[in-house]
Amino acid sequence: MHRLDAYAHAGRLRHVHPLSKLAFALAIILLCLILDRPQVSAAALLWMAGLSILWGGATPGFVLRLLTAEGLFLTLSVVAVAVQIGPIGQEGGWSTTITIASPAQAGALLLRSFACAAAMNFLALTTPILELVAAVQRLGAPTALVDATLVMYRYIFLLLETLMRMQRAQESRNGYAGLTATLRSAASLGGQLFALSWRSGRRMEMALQARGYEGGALSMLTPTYTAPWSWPVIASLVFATLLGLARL
Amino acid sequence: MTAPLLAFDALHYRYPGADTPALCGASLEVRAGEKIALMGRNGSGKSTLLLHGNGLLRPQQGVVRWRGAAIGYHREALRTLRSQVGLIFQNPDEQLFAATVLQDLAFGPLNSGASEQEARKRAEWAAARCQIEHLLSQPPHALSGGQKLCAALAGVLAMRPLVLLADEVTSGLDPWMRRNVLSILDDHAAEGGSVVLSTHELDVARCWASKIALMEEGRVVHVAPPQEFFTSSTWRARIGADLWELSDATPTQTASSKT
Ligand SMILES: Nc1ncnc2c1ncn2[C@@H]1O[C@H](COP(=O)(O)OP(=O)(O)OP(=O)(O)O)[C@@H](O)[C@H]1O
Ligand SMILES: [Mg+2]
Repeated sequence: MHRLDAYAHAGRLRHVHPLSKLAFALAIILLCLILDRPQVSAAALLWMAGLSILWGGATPGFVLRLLTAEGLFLTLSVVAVAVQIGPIGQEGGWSTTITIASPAQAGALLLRSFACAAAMNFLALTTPILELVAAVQRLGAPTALVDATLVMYRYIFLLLETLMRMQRAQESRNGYAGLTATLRSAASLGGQLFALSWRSGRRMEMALQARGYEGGALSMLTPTYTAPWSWPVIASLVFATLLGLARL
Repeated sequence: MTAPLLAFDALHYRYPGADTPALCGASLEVRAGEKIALMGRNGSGKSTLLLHGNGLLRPQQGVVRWRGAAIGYHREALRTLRSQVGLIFQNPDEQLFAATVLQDLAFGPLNSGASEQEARKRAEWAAARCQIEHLLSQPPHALSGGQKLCAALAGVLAMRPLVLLADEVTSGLDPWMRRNVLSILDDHAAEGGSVVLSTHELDVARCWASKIALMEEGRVVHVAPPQEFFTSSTWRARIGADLWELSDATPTQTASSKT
């Protein structure tokens, strides 16, 4: 998560308006779903992964790792859809039914899911999530909801850091050597984490108040975005490829 | 002697559910241009006192005064107070919350009613002063501990407060970073502001502060220039300076003088 966030902040597409990137990623996903051709999905997958690496600045290894993790999950769900295992009749036997016509169809489904995942990755790798949320807010999402997301996001990192620190502290005292020790450590970690995060949440609130926060919406600057000229060009190129392939 | 900007007058405070009070009759006056090192053992009430200065805690007895008048605890009064008295927390992680450093620095000015343009200008000014201009577009969790502290400090400076209350901000910094932070605080005092820095570092108290205020068990027991604390054997002992050989003796000499 830290790495995802770091790329989102450092990438070259940082200054493209988040909504325009969101629209781009959604359009790709829609195209893949509507056109529903393996060659379109494959092209979209290649484009999105390629853009994330060459333009977004993520390392190929990281993009691949993200895709593998998602791929594992996607493959499992495709298998779940394709294969049905169920009891038959009263004898209590079991049968497996393949619900999808052919392996090719399963392959196409998988490819399409991969392409959609790659489009979401592209968005995540080039757009800090908080900016996306703030941009959606300016479209008219409820302020309270957006503020909550903003603070929660920051809070998650804080929580993860606390968790990591506590876990390391336990481990350094052999907290995870053996089953009983592990169970004991994990249990106390849960309890402590709750107490600690409650306390630090309370202090965060005090710190906001110390700088004049009086409840309600958090005051934020409206960010300015400047898109490089290449952005619309490449985006059009991607769409052209996908539409072109669909006609083959 | 000039009139104090901020005055704590015989404050009493007991945390809900605590057996002993955290403050019992703590008094301290802060004047323009002063650099006060707030010392005292762990749990003596330093952080609790500082929280009162910004109106975050309300004393159960006693008054906090701003320019001679007791502060109010309603919205308007607190808003004015908090734009004049800045508080920097012991742990910067608890202060930084926004998506980027720039957003975080602009938060205080926006709250005190600055326009977006003005807030951005002040944020940039504060970042320049704390030498973190290059970090403005970063998210807080991507910063090192020292950088986080500078960002937290800048977030308060951007509000242009007159009095800065800083809770142990110099602990955990390398000597260069510490020099940096202390010189930012120096600049603030030189421009007519004042600083109260709670610290356990004897050398900071001795070399940086214009006054030391010593807290013991919820009370400020003595306020005096550093040389008085470090020359009187009683006060040396009470700030713990006699535990360490603070002369120019090298470590080996100190060790041999003890045997
Ligand atoms: N949130 C709290 N709830 C209950 N008691 C508290 C709380 N915060 C502090 N105390 C108690 O109040 C007393 C004063 O604490 P305070 O944090 O002001 O001390 P301090 O001088 O800042 O110490 P340190 O040097 O360790 O930071 C201590 O006895 C402490 O246990
Ligand atoms: Mg403290």
